[in-house]
Amino acid sequence: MTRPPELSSNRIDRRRFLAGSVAAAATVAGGVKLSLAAGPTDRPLIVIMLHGAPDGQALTPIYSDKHYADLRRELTLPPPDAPGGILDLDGRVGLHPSAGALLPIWQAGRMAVAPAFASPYRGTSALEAQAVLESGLPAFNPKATDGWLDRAVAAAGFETPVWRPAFGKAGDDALMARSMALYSEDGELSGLLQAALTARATERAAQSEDVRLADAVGLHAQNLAFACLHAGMALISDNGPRTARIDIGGWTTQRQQGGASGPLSRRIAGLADGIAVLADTMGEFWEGAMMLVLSAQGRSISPNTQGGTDPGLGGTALVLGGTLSKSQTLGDIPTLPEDGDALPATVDSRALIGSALARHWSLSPGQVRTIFPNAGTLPSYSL
Amino acid sequence: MAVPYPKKFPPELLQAAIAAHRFGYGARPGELDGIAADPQGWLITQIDQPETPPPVLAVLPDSTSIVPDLLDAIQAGPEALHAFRRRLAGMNRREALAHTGTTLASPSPFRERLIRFWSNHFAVSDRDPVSFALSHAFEREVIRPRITGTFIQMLTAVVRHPAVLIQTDNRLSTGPISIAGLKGAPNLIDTLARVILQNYTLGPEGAVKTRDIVELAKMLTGWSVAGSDEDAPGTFRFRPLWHEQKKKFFFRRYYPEAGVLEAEAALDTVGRREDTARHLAISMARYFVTDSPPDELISDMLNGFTGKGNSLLGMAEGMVRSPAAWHPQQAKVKTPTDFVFSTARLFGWGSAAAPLALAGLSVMGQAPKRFPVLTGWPSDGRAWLSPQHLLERLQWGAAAAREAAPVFHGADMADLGLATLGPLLSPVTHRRLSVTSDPADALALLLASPEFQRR
Repeated sequence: MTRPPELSSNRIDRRRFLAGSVAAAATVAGGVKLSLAAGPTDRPLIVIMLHGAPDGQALTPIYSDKHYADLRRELTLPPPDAPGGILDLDGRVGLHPSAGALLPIWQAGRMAVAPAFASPYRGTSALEAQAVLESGLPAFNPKATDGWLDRAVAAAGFETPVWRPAFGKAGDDALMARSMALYSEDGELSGLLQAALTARATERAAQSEDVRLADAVGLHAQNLAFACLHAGMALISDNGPRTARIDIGGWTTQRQQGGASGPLSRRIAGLADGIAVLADTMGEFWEGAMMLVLSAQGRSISPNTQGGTDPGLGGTALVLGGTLSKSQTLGDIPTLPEDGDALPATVDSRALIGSALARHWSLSPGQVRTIFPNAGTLPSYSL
Repeated sequence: MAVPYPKKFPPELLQAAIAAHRFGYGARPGELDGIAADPQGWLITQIDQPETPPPVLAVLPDSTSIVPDLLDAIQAGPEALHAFRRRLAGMNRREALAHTGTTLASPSPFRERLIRFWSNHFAVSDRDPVSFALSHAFEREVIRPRITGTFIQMLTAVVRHPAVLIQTDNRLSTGPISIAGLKGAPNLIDTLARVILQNYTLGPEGAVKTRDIVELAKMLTGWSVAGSDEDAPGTFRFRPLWHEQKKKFFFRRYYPEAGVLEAEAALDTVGRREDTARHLAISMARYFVTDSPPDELISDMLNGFTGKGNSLLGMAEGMVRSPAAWHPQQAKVKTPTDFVFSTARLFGWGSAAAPLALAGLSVMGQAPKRFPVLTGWPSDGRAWLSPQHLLERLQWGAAAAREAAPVFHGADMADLGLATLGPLLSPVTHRRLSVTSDPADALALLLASPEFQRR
């Protein structure tokens, strides 16, 4: 089997990250990445990886928990019947008010939500957590050479998937520097941009290298709609790819993340609208498609002293697409821990992804076991 | 080969650039030459004609088809209301796409901006948990057809619309001294009266006394909406039995008891006040020209307004005809909406790009109708100018530029800058564009430039 070049270069970069090479960081840090591969003709698969531990209680809040508002404090979202409130899904779990573009998909019976989802990794490294999510292995293994998505494409019968990066722009530092130069006569804009860049530098400096690198895969939710447009068009083209993976980073919100409005709310809006763009672009082909939106870990329930949240455990995963039988929440809805720290994870990434792949690409239990080796007995979800 | 930066521009080209960027949603490359023949005329022709409803909007549901179900759901309780909201979720996205696509395809960008201005002024927000379903229908039914009529016509139509009567709960307002109230169900609600005086007419700084609010609220008792079990469900309905009896004292004048006519007369009175006109002119001037409008501009707008029988067309014309509105300095930074639509015009995006444009609006925090309930977005441009906002805006610009770059394959980006911004493009930006080799980088820089970020 020919090794998919995009995934392998990604993997090499990741290993360099783990070795702590700063030089390698620049080659991956930057825009949204879109990778495409072959797959079953009528069953397109889209994987959106959210890097940097997105705040699950912002994306899919368990707002019905009796301690929700006490624990979330200034991050509390207004209840469903208040202006700009949470978009209720099932009376227990809702969507962030900025994620309105997803509501029609839920309403159409095309979305499953796992609000307490995580990879099996239980250590403290954000990079390792992401590596475990992607590898499909039970624990971090620096020697792993491929991921569950490679093995799934192979299991579906596509021996030589052709991965090619369509996006993968370097960081925006050059643009910001050029813009700064243009603003020399404009005190207002230069002051604002300088303040933004200083704040960003301060925030990066305050993050551990592990967190910074985990977050820096695809910086901008702003790009997602464009990537989704291209992914959608590619997936519906004759003889085109049928598998797309989009990496979007920047979900680490250690400072001033905001509640119903603020920076995180705009990123969530970008995610929701990007997904809707993909569904719109695919048109009738969306009916045969499945999309997985995955994060390796979530964040703390309660805010820290800087108005942000700290790395946690249980976070958000979404399964969307025309092939789902109904909309539902997946897994036990855990009680929010009284210490406001990490949410327990009730849905194992391998169990959810395995169930989704088995359904979507009609894979046998044996094939799923090869995709997720040494997983033991995993629960299966009826999607 | 790039054209060198011109030593001199024809003066009308500067006027054309200001017309396109300050009053409209920017210029398609080369569009300025056509506008330059008569920049003011180009703007006024866009608004000096009745509204032709865009076909894409005509197929969307009107409020009378939504309101009866909405009222039933409110009546049935929170569960039913949640279910109703979820049922309409898909409709709101279709509405937002049609709304965005209409502006992308419109040959009258100034008119589209004027519609957004008035929609924001009378803010029926889709953040409102009850009237959200009507935010787009309200704009189609009330605002679009009336942006060039008189202010009184606009104000009266706004206050009678179910979206406003439901949003403010005025549909339930029952006078203490009304037939129903005396039987034991008084329920005087003054929200609408407050909104009329403090938002719609005199403004937050206006000379509004609590007594005027209460008296106007009494005049508005019985202004309600017909439910599904009544005639003409989902439309305005005056309920005489709920209406406060006796005369009312409003703005130093007695209003004899006259049922529905009382509030109509009060709207007429307050709508004709000079301080109302001034509040409207200042808001409009802030929206289009500058955060601190000069007195000459306001007085030109007021003259245009009163000279045409208190017409909103006259106010907009007064603004366009005022020399004070054409200062070459670009005082205002664009809102996300201005930025997205002017980017779209530069790149030649039509209505098919509505999902991309809508995603851009969302990610920059200005999705259609997501303004604060009842107050709208502030007209002060600085509301959109946090450091974080600027950074995100430049990032979106870079993504849009990368998307558009193949379309401009082989084009010279410095020439493109001149073709869209004309004399507004500074020599410095022109030079930077001509030395940036990657087309996507150059386009991103054009979008980031102060000339493109401002109006």
